[in-house]
Amino acid sequence: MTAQPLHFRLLSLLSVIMFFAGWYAITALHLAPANLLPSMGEVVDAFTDILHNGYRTTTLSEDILATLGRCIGGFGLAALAGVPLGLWMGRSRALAASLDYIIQFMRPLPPLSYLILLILWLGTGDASKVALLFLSALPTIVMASMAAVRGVKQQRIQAALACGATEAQVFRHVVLPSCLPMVMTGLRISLAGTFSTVVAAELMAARDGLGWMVFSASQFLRTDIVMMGILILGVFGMALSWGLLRFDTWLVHWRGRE
Amino acid sequence: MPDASGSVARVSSEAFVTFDNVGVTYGSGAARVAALENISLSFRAGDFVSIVGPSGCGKTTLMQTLAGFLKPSHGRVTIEGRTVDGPGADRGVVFQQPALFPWLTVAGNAGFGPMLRGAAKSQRTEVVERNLRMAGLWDFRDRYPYELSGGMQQRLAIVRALANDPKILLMDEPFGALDALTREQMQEELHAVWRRTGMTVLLITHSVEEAIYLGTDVVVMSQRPGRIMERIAAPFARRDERNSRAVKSLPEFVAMREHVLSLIWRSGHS
Ligand SMILES: Nc1ncnc2c1ncn2[C@@H]1O[C@H](COP(=O)(O)OP(=O)(O)OP(=O)(O)O)[C@@H](O)[C@H]1O
Ligand SMILES: [Mg+2]
Repeated sequence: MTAQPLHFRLLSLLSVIMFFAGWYAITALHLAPANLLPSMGEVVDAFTDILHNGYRTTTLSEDILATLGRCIGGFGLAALAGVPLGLWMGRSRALAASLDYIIQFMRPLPPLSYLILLILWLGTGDASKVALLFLSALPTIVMASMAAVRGVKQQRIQAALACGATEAQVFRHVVLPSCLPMVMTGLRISLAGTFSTVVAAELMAARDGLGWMVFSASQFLRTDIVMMGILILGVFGMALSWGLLRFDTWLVHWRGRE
Repeated sequence: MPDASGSVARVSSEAFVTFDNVGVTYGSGAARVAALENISLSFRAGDFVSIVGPSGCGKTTLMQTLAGFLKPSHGRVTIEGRTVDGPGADRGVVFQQPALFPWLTVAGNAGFGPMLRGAAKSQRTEVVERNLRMAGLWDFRDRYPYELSGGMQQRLAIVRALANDPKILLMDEPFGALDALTREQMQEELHAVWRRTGMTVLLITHSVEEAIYLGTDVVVMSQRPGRIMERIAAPFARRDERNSRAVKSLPEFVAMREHVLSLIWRSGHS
């Protein structure tokens, strides 16, 4: 993806301004009940309050780190395991056949449906959440990596063989780099999924984290804190995706240009 | 597959590459296609063999058996008396599409073979520099293949193949996608490399002119199943006169071109 021209970026910015302007207008004109839609000022106050005093038992940075840590832990483990597994499945028909049904079964499964089992097995701590994120991210990463290997252009492999490459060298110097674009796409898709799953997981069983904060505040009808939590979540979700996108653009510099 | 023909004796000491009654069939049952049948052909080291024939007659298939990408269903292919049973660095291959490695720079592509062999860095950079200078790509050494024009990419593909000092260069319509001017320049460059190195070249082309102009031998193939119709010795490649316009309008050149064209024309409509 190339950098957006300035006027398109202004356009993107404009929609954000419109959102805040609309929000401001609705609260300033008292078009909505104040306990359901807090004003921007109240949300900012909630933010500074929690920034200094924390929310209930945790500080804001603890909550942010808890959520990000679970994401990065679950996603990172899924990437570490899923990419090699998928690449291997792309090479070995037998392995692909053995795991096919399991992956196909896991892929459309809503992660929250098995969260309760994980909590029973692993407790209410971080282990169950990281395991949940790991399991929810894994199928996409595996499928993308497997498809990447199968899609490697035959002619590239032949070109390497005609340069004297051994099987291992073909894999290391041709198959692996050829797979990067699709593997990275798989990672980006599953990272977005991970982030939405972590919040849901924190709604069910957690004592910290941004999702927990939002859920807990909602039970006290503190919509200002809920609003603030959502904004922070959105910003961090965007930042993670953006970071991975930048990494992707740097790593796969030939994407769409061959 | 045991070889019953005892053909080793027939391989002349002079022959560098032989196709010994080679046949290739793709698929089975209703989808069965006999792509090549009864191909027997041999050529000597230093020959420049051009192969022409109608589309789908099996030219690529023929090259793939020599490159070692495809095992013949029948017969065998030998190089220096040894049966081909897989690809190797002794046979450089240039495809119609350059098939470069987009994650490597121009220099990285040019040094791919030496890198695989674990050649010393100094020796590697020397080979890369010499070849890239020769191909006029030295100034682009730190660029990536997608930043090159089509003609430059094809030159790089040739450079990548040459870096392995192959005994034979196999080229499958390497200039097919280039404009007329670039194509003529590439023909001259290829000819110069061949003259200088004395390498053996197998060139598949759709252009009869190109085949006659560059080849010491022109092999004309016929349509499905692919067979060899005629093999013609062409004198023009070994001439010192390299004014391509002049050579291509010589009466004997024109006569040969018309002859080959009529062969292809007939085979395509039989
Ligand atoms: N992988 C394949 N599977 C089945 N049939 C094939 C395969 N490759 C080629 N063929 C068939 O074999 C025949 C010869 O194909 P080949 O590609 O060798 O022709 P060609 O002379 O190189 O043609 P062109 O000049 O168009 O490149 C064709 O009829 C083609 O349909
Ligand atoms: Mg072909």
